[in-house]
Amino acid sequence: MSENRTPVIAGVGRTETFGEQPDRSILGLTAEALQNALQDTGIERDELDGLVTNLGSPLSRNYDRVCEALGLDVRFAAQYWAHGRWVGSCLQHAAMAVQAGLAEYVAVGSGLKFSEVPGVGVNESVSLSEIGSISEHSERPWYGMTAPVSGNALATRYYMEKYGATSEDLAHVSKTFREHAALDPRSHYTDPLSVVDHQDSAHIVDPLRLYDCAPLTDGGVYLVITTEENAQSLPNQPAHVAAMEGLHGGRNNHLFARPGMGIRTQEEHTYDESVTDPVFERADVSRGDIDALYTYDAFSPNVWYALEYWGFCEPGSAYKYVREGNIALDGELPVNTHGGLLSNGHVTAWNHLAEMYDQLRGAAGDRQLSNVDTVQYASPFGDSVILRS
Amino acid sequence: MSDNTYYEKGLGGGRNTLDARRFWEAAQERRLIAQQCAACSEYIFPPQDCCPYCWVDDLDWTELSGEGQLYTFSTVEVSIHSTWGDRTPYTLGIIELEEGVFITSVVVNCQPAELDIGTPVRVTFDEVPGEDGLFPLFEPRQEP
Repeated sequence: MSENRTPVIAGVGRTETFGEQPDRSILGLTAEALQNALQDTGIERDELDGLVTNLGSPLSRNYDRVCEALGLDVRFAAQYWAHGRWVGSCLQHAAMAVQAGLAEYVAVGSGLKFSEVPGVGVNESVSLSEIGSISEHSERPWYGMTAPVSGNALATRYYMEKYGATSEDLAHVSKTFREHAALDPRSHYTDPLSVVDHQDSAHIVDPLRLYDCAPLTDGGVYLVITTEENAQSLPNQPAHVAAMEGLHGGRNNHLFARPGMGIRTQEEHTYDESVTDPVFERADVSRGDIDALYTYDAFSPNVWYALEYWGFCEPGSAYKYVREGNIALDGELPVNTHGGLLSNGHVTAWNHLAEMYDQLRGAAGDRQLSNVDTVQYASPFGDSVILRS
Repeated sequence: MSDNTYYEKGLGGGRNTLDARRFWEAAQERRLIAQQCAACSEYIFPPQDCCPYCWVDDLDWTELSGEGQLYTFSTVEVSIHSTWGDRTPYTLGIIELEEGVFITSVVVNCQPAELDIGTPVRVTFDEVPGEDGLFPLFEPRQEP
């Protein structure tokens, strides 16, 4: 008799709040989120036999330190290098490990403190000569290009010039996500943000303003991945990993631009979104079946790039689509229904994956969409996970 | 020069190669150079150990005209790191050189409001905060 090892999400846990938490330790936030995930899943600590994380020290803690400090004993551990870009890949790795029989219950996620570590946003206690080796977003620190925001700004000016988009168009991304975040009490920011507020905020790196940039958040999130068979004896309705697409690498993939835009080493060409068809085919859904989309919004223009990359908008049209209200909770394609990195909090998109599960099981509180059965994580870097109830 | 400079370390994290050193050495002589593949003739920048087009590791060095145009640019308005903080606002640019090479640098000797995508620029060499030696920077030029 063959067992059903189809990978599912069976529970999630978050810290009570996302935001600056100066009195909390990284391992304390990790323990809180992981404890909540185990409780939600309905398993004990000693049943957890897998751990996958993206960050490690210094933003978070390395997998071995987490296992030692929290008394875990896992038989499948994996850690990527310290970037938010890997959250989708971590979930995929956990799903494949479960399916291949390497583990029964894998926790994926991280507890982290952006506020404490002079890593990628505020580099003040790190010398310029060190930045290039700790923060690989094409920084050129010797020219004063010391943070990821500069790369995004250079790409976004090019997009604006090419397609006629403006800073005010970006304001609609930030405003919409703030409205979503106001419906989650743990959000880093919940106070209303108007288009005028956005336009009055200071340029950080022109054309990006303060509210185009995600905050530096402290918090933690874990998801528990197991098999469909195991999930049958657990309390929660599971979410199925319907299809996955790996992170793309190569000259046409840029962290802060859609393929074909012609930024830096890219060829400039007419982008054909059919390159993203396979993940929809593997999930046996069409783009129109996606009830909500989640993307890595460290900077607001990423939302435009993801919408165009994944074929929800024609190249050069996403800014209009957003401006017309289509990514709001009552829009055609709600995006980042919890408020994203920009307002729910920058915990490297683990919060996006947790929100996806909550939407599918009807546990998203005031943010709950009606008739949700298919949601997608799709980054501007080319990776994706489609979850179905 | 001190040991803690990009001149000594090569061109950025993880690219501490002898070839990057050639680029910085030329900059001290106010020359802008880039690699060109001996096999396929493609220009290569930033310096690499082998040709990204044909994978041959026989790369020649060639002097560039130093003239090109602004491909895109962005002005840093706030102090993100104190080493450059005193200079805000300063303008980063991706420059498309006549030879087809793209180089990321700083645009100097101008006000940001004067700049547009497509503004003609040429190389100039100067010091940058916190580093020893000359770095290739760019300034607007009048088109002939």
